[in-house]
Amino acid sequence: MQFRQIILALFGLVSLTCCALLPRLADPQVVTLAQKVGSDASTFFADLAAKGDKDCSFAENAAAYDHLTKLATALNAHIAASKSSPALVLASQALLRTLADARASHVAASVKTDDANGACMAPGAIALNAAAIARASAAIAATQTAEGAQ
Amino acid sequence: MSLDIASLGSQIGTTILTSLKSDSGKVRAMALAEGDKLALALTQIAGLLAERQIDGEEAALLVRVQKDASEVVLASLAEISRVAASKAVLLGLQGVAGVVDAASGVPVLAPLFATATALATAPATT
Repeated sequence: MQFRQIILALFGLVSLTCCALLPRLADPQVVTLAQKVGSDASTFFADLAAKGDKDCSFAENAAAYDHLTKLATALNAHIAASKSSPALVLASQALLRTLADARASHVAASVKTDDANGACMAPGAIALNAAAIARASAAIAATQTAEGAQ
Repeated sequence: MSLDIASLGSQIGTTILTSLKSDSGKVRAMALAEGDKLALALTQIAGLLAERQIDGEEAALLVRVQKDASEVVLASLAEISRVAASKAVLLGLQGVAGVVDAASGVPVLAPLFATATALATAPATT
């Protein structure tokens, strides 16, 4: 009888622990996609800063923005479908806006070829956009990791 | 061109925090950290403008990228809505617009946020 009570008590404890933990588990797909946006953006902007007149224009780099937007769209769709966190849905939408505005700033820089940078973005502008996308994507990944750790 | 980044950051962070009306220590830390990051970014954008590396249109877009990123950071906190995050960042940037514009010599921020203020202060419907 005593043994049975101990087993039941243990089972109850394990069940309670699992129920408490399950809704808070970090979604690895969210972390992976958010980190991928950050790392691919970092690589892209580092390469962009090293490019010369022929390769630095928006037209030559549009595919990279398409790639980053595709990743962020997948992240947004996954978060929305999992219905795990309304806050992250909104954050991932803001990440898409960050990418769209970064893209627009590159377009604007490339259109104006009569400045010192020609069709290229100013190196300082590239660094600013890189930092913004890095901190935005890191915030989403960190939120998921923190929720999983609770 | 000279801007006190620490003072700007403190002003932006405090404005964001006041707008969010939150007692959470996590929100406070993130609001103040975003204030510092925005101040640094604005100073760099003002510098690029003053050096004529970018023009007003590009500067406005770069500011929007920074604003978007801060909204991501704040909206990722469960206790903050996107509307509240957007309004807080907007007010934070608007509060220092005059100082940054004066430093760069190009009125970019003030006109940018003057038109957006009405939207930020309007009652949220969503």
